[in-house]
Amino acid sequence: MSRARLGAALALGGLLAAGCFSADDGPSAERPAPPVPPRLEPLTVPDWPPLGPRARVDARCSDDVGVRRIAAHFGYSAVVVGQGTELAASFTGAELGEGQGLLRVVCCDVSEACAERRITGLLVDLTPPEIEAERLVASPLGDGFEGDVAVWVRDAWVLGSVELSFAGTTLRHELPKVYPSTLGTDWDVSRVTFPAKELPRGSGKAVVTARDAAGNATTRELDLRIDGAPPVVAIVSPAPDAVVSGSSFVVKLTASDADNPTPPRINLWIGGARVAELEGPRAEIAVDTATLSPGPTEVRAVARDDAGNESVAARVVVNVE
Amino acid sequence: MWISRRRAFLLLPGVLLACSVNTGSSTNTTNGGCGGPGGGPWGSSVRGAPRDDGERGKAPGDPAPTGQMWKPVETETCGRAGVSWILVDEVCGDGEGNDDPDSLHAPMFRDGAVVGDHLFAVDATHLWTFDLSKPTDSSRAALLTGLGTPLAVDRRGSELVLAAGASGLVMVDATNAAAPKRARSTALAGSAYDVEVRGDTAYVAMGRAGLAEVDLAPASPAVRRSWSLPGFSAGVATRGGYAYVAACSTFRVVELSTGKVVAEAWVPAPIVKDRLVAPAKKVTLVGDVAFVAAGRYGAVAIDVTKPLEPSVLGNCTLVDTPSFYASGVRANDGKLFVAGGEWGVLPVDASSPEASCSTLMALAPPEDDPDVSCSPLPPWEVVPWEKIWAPPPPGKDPIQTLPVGDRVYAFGDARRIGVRAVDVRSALDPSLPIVQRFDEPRTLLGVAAGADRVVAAGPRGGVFVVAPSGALTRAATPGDATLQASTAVTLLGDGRWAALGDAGLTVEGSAAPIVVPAASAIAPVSASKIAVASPTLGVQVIDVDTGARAGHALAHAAHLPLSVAADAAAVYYAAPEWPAAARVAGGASVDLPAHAVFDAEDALDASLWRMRLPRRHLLTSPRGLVEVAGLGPAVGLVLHAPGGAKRTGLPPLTYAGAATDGDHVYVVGIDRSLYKSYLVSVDVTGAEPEVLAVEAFTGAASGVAVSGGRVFVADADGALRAYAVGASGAAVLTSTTEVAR
Repeated sequence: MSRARLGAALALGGLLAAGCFSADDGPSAERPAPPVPPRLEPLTVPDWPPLGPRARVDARCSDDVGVRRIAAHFGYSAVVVGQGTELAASFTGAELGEGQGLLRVVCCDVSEACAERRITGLLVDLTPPEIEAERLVASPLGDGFEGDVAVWVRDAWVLGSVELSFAGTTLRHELPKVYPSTLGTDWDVSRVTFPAKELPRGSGKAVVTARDAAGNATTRELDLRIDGAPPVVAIVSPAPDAVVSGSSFVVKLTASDADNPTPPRINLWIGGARVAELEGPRAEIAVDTATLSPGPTEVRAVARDDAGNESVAARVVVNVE
Repeated sequence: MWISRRRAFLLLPGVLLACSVNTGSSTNTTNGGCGGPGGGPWGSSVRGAPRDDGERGKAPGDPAPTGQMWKPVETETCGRAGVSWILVDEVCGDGEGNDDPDSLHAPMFRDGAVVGDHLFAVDATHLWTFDLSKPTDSSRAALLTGLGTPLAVDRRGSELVLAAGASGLVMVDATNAAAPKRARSTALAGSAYDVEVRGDTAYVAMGRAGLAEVDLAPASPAVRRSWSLPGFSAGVATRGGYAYVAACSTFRVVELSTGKVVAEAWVPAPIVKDRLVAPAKKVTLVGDVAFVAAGRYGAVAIDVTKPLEPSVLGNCTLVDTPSFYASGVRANDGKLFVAGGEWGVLPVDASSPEASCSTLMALAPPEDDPDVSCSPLPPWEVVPWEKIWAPPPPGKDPIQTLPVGDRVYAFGDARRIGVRAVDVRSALDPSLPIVQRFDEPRTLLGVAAGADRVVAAGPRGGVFVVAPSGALTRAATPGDATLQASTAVTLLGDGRWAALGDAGLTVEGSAAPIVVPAASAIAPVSASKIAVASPTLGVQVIDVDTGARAGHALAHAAHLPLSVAADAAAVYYAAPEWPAAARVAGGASVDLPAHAVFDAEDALDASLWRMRLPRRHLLTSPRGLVEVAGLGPAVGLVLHAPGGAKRTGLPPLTYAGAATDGDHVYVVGIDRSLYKSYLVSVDVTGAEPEVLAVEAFTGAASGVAVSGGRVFVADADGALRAYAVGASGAAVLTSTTEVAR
């Protein structure tokens, strides 16, 4: 006996053992009329949103004799069995498994006559999106990038919305209910900004919740600071009209920013030429005079905090000898 | 149910499924049985989630080409927002203009003027003087700062008139070319980007503030008139009562008597896809034609025979050469010279200016921004370290030209990460061969100090005796040629110097160098042993007398030059991009605790590399290993003490060297855009390291050494600076020794 025939014989033997069909059946027996397949109603899946873990695909099947089972085949396979001439089944996204592709729903009656319905390209999304912080310090006085709190959100399939709650204020950003052309090829990524001027000033924890279109959600707690107060800078020395001689002179600076735990940075110009960027709140630097012309020379300092707020410039004019 | 045998075979899979389920419930099956996972016969048409490429709109890793800058723009596609980086003109931006002159700081010359036999060049921070009477001597004659942000220069006799950004107009007395002095200045309504001097009058392009006319005759120059103009005035030329203004998105004719814009003309569609593709930046007049430098459009020729009816004649550009980007244009003696950025200088016959550029060649709009998605390749391959310090490449990257007699001076750099340079080309030859080059001096590249002498590596290196007063005097030695061909030097435990150059490692008094391929750092181990680090060979400890070597493979792959330090117990090494250094002792290599200045994820962030390349310096001391690490905005010093690591932040600089006397660490940093260097004194005796003092000086610090209570700093500008260690531990300057040839 060939292997193929042996395999088939073993399979049939198994079927007999399971009672799937009668041993009396055979070509010599009188043949009854072929069974009528059950009637499987058309499947309906809304165009939006994609299926999440709790979303359902419903199937209804009926048969003149009896419905044995309805099975759904996707990433996973799931089966509902029953009795009677009608059977209804719901398959959740969690039961179907994550992925995008062909869904087959098969209904078989007691005679093993089956009917099948398909959905191609079905999307089941079970994984929540990810949140990555970009800019968590912003100024309500800033323009463009510096005036926004920014996070990046990414989802393997389709993004839905992002919400930021801070100090009693909640801002929400809803992404359009569309499927990006890169679906299935690339992750769905978006930079989401929240204007600092729409948030209360201060420091604290912000709760950011990102949801994908299927309803999966991720929540992150991030340290946020909305800072609208510019720092203050002062030139401690040299004094106005001081005479500076020798190979160098010392510039002492202070910068304060009352509501900011991060010391501001101080930029220093000598004679209009930028010399150094120093870290506050106190900074001291010796500046060589070898390349300065004798005469009045302006010393100017501007402090800038990490939210982008700049101080009013402090200036003194010294006399270089 | 009857099933024919044939049909049974066909239905076998379905039947198997039916026969293995639980009655009355739904069941997921993942392993055989009634079904399978996605890889089974039903799941094979279901694909899983795509790979996440980490796309996040990170900043590009390469510097912008000459004349341009990267600008982040918000993008939106399908309701998804992102950030793209596009190239825009550094002065004109998208057409609205760049009103922050300080953003133009870069290690490059921008313009110049010739007075007598001296060339004066500006780099947005300093005025450099070069003596043209010595064709074989390209050394600098003088250096001056405190001039605001000098971006352009013209002359009035022996006085230089600088368009100095926010500082307005600054005049420099160049009567004594070897010692130019800031003389006068005039505040303006806006930042000065360009200047043209006609007799005793200066016309200044002031960006968004328009134009100014300044009377230079009085002792205190005064603004005679100024006109607010629409748009951004980037360049200006005047003649016959009219000002011809390169105004970024257009070319304007301004009637000087009234200040009114009487005409405009420009190439069709200068703005494409919201980008300015033809930025009008600089202008010069040849006969009745105005030539305007306009980026990829090259030099645009505009007939101004009738000032009220200017008409575009055409443009001279290299359509199929993306590296050609015109940022400056000047003419002399019937020849026009276009500063074409990284391509070079384009000479144009302007003897009949109306025919010089008679065809208008429109360029395709720029490609969308370059790929900014994350790459799986390490970002450090973008900027190969050794190329930065290699001999300057042939002159390129001019941003402005200055034709004088039979010479053309091209001002620029050798890429934004290179050095300032002025190429002197012969205008007699159509190929404009280079006859001389002035660039940033790189005279000293490293330093080591012993009890009574200082040893310096570099073209002007050598041995310098330290007098009791701290003064340094050069002493000629047989090894001077070797030191002058070296890039790094150290002192062995017995006081001999060991220098690293292209030929290998040479020890004082030895006949031949020791071959150490691709070595990047050396450190003394003992009287006769030295540690050498190389990305290819790992770390080797070499006995310089016997030649014996003990090698150790690197603990991790290194892509940038290694740093190395050693003491009696171990050899320490690290690549700048590593989050932790490694220690070799007893033949085994072990990672030290992380320095915590940046982590492995930061090391893959190209935007941080673009801000500042990673750097690392290692020092051994009785208190433990000192590690200086930096990447992007973060730089820190870590002391790996027996009781645990102690850390402090350092000023955000690119650090070129470090040295310690056991109680203090002295680090030298450099800002090449400002041509400023810094010596930072740090106390490491306390509970936490503490920055004691910061000193800033003009120049390019290349190394630091400590010995006998003194600190010595090598300045590539051509000096050795000596400091005494004060009572607090801060270094106090005592002398500066110019290192002549």
